[in-house]
Amino acid sequence: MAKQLHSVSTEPVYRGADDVMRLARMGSAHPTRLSFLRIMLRGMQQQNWRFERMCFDLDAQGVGHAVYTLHGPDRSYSLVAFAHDLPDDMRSDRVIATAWDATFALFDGVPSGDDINRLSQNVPLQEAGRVSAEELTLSRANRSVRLFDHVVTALAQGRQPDAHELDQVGYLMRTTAVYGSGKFGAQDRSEIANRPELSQPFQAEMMTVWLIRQFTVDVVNHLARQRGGASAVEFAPDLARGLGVGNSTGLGMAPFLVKHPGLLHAWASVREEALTRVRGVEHVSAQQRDDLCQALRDAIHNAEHWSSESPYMAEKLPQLRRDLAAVSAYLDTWPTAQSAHPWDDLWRWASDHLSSEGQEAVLSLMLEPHGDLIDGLADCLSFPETVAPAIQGAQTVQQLRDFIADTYDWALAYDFKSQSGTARFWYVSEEKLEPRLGSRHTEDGSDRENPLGIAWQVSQLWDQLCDMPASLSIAEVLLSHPQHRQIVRRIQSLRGCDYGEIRENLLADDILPIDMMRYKLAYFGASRFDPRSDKWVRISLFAGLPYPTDIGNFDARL
Amino acid sequence: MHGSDLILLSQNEWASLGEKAARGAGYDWGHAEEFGWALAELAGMGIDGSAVLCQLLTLFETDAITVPKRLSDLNPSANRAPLCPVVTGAALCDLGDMALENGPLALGDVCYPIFLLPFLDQMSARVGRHVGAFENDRQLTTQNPDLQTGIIRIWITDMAIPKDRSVAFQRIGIQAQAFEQLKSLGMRTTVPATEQSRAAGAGAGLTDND
Repeated sequence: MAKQLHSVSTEPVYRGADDVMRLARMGSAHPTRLSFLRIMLRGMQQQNWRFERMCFDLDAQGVGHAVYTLHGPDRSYSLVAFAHDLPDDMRSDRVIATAWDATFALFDGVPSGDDINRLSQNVPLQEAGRVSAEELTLSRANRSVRLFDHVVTALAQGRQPDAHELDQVGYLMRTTAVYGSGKFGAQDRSEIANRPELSQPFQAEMMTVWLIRQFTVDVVNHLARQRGGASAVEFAPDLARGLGVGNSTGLGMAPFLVKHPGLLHAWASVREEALTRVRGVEHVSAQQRDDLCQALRDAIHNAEHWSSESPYMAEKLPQLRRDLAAVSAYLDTWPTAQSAHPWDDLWRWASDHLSSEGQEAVLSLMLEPHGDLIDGLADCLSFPETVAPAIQGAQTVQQLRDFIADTYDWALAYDFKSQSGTARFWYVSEEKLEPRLGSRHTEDGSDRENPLGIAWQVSQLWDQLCDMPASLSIAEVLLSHPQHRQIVRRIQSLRGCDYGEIRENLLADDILPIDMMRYKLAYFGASRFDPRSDKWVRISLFAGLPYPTDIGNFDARL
Repeated sequence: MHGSDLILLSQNEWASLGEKAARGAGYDWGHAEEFGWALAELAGMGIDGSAVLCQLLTLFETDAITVPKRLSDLNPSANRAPLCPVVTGAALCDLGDMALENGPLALGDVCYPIFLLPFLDQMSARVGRHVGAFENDRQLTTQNPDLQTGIIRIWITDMAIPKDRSVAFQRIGIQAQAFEQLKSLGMRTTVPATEQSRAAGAGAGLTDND
């Protein structure tokens, strides 16, 4: 991809990694039509999937199990849900929790009675149990104490819940982990990635969360009926529509982007390709203008209802609202009649006048009307990942040095001699295997750190290579200095993957892990990003979008 | 699963188990990744390498294994503990054609060479020829049980008979004792919690009612 040039040409160029792969911009990412949940919903619509409630067996307290199935052209997938009676003082979103309001598995097919029995003995235990190759995901969710009871009470008394309350919380339940990819015995991704419905990223996880969303609405309706009897009413669909499934995410998500650089490159380059294609479009149809304006209205609405008490959003949210208002004003006179590249005009204006937050929001808006042009890029979001020992041993010290100087110049610019350069370390706690961040110079444990400080590793490798004969083979260097093996493999395997690295010193103490989390969550399709600290966030998935019961009647242009 | 059932690991779990155990025993992360990869590859061939891996890591911790550190270590040598099959295998993959430029390569004694075989498969893919391991004129394959029990004097060549790749992946069980031992080694990659780290390190509070 070409680096950003200062050129008088009106032809669009790709944004470079130095711009795009910095946390200030990554932490301003917005969901687009290429997000994983949008991809899943389009697939449901285009392939005529069917939703079926196979069973809903909850008692008067809401304890029991349910099975919800999605039937596709070739296969079916079933959410097996277990609802529990959880005391309030046991409710925790941390990995160290041992009980939850509801626990789930996504079964590959339609489960038999024996399957459900086996799952009932394992799924409620989560990490302490085992699932099998017949399960694709394992997850759990907790109620919003504030909203859940309010909704059940209102419905039981024959009225709809308060719209403001619904808006403030945004979900009835929030997941606190959704495990896939072979964890705890679940099926490996490699075994299912060839299925068309699962070939794009995280599709099984998106199906899981979408079915959980349906379950949460069914549970409140069930409990309302139990409590209110004949007086109870059903949750109005137009109100339920605005709710998503919450997700409570901690540090564990941040290392993912560092550990899967090929995937990160695929995601970022799809986004940039989509943007560049749209910028190159030479006309604006009436439909496209309508779609753009509708997307803007939706974004303004979302921003108005997006609340967060976090100081990290204290400036970002008002700035976003101001920027979206400015976009609205700009569109009053857009496009100009003579313009050869009206979409590029919009983009350049945004780049010159808006904050990063506003620019990334405009990127999302610009993609909305161009499904025909860019939806096919969804097939480029995957990256074949193997940890095969594929080191190019014949490369020489000089060749690798030259390559590092060219593509990792950003990493070599940090000062790792000072204490502040290596202020932090990433690690996993012995207790419940929870990912955490430590302070290297004041805490114990850095001898067991996880190797996420990529820039530091590159810098150490560079120092080593400067000390070795230029014509020596890398194979020989690594025999005598195996501590560089991992970083060498990484560097060599990322040749050509310009967007694969987060161009920051991830060990610095001003790094905000929530910037990394927001980026990944934007690709999921998460809205209403709400940090609860610099290491913990709440988001919502599927808010405003159809439910499984709506398949066949999707009214939104997905 | 119920107590008496075998634990069937996913490929991801095999790889993670092997990687963390090797790192816990003291190998660098790069080699640890390759331990995990090799363990998962063997599982994919229907071989539970967990007990052998435990033995290997014990030998490493007691300095009873030779980790090659220079090219000359990839040759037979008297008065030397047998070669680590994973580090040796990884080095051979790195070298590719360079390893065989002088013809067949005698390595000397290699410990538990079952762990060498996945690397020779990888090397074959790299050099475009079938690289295999031999003891004298016997080609060694995963079907030979002595590859899992001890030391074999090995030489490698690119004139091997290709292996049958038609077997589809099927999950296998892991030996319970070896599983526990490897998990225990893997726990050395974690950091014991303190009240301070528990509260400050991950972000959320201890209860979540909202």
